[in-house]
Amino acid sequence: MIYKWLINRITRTLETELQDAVVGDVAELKMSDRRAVCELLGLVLRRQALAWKTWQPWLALVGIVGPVGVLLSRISAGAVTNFSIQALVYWKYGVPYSNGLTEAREIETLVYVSLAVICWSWVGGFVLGTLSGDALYVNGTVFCLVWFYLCGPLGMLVYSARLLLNALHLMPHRALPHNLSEFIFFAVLPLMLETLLFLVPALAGIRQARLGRRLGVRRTILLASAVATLNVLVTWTGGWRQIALEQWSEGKWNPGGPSWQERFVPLLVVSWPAVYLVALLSVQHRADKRKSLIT
Amino acid sequence: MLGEFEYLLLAATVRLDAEAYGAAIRLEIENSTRQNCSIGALYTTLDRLEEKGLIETWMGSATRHRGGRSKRMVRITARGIKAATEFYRVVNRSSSGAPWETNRAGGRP
Repeated sequence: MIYKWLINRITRTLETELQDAVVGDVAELKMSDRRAVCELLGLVLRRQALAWKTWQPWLALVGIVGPVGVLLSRISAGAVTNFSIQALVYWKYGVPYSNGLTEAREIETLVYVSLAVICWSWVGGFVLGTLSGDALYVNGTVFCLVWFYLCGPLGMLVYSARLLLNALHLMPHRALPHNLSEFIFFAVLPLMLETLLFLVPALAGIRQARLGRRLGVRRTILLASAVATLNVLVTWTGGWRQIALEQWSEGKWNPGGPSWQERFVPLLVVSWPAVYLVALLSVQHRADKRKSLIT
Repeated sequence: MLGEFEYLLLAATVRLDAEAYGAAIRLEIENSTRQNCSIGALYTTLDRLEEKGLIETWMGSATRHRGGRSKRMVRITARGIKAATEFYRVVNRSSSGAPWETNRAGGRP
């Protein structure tokens, strides 16, 4: 039973035609299920090894899974934490958490950063899917692990375990209290938001790339313009909190924090997949032009 | 130049002619070499040979004894025949004077 399930799972990683051919061969050769699993696993591993012979999957791993995945996790976690604090304070006391910003500016900051994370994640996922080819199973898994480790799920598991231990009176008194509302606002809500802002758009981008759909000139330019605009807006609004605190204290309290250049550089790193798409478009455009000249 | 397994695969394809497809090629290679031929080695080599233009493949009909699955049919191209011929000549030339070559001709081992 488990071997049948394994055969099914392994062959699903192959293209439909190859799937047909190898499963047919297994049936025709009357192979045992155990042997079939070993042979099919061998085929998949060989194909994975071949996929890593080109530079593209390496660029996806080193350029997207690493820096983009980690930075996106950090940026989205920061935005979601701010939102969670606001939501918890509002839910408990009926007033917004005052950090010096007006409500309108707080909402504006959150909207820009949320839109930016969605855009970066989608483009990052799309380029990851385009570059990885057959190596997507490895790159995609590592990308999801980055999300799992840095965004929510791991934290939520730890939090849940602590709650359970608490309920069973196995936690030392000092580590308490953790109540349900804090669990919802600091574990469940961030996980849901980070899934919506980061994981879902990234997986949608990967899916789009796997289906072989090209973006086209207009969409690529539109997407790149949106990313560039959001980068500027997020850098600009990112400094509002500092200014608000300085103004509120009439210049007596300078909370410090990163300069606009320091805020802008990480955004450039997470936006490089959009630059890659524009560069790819220009290369394709030149190649098409050369072809038309020849014909 | 071809690799050893690539040559075996081309030779099996030629011998099987219109009946050359994954499982049949595998059995042919196993019968001639008396060694196991894995699905992984077979299909990755088929892909490589097709990329080099030495074979052509296409999906054939489905049969009941294959669980209703199609066969990946294989045909050698003119370039494939040329490459296999060249490989055979090189092996023959380089074997000249070797003890096993003399043995084949009826000499002492």
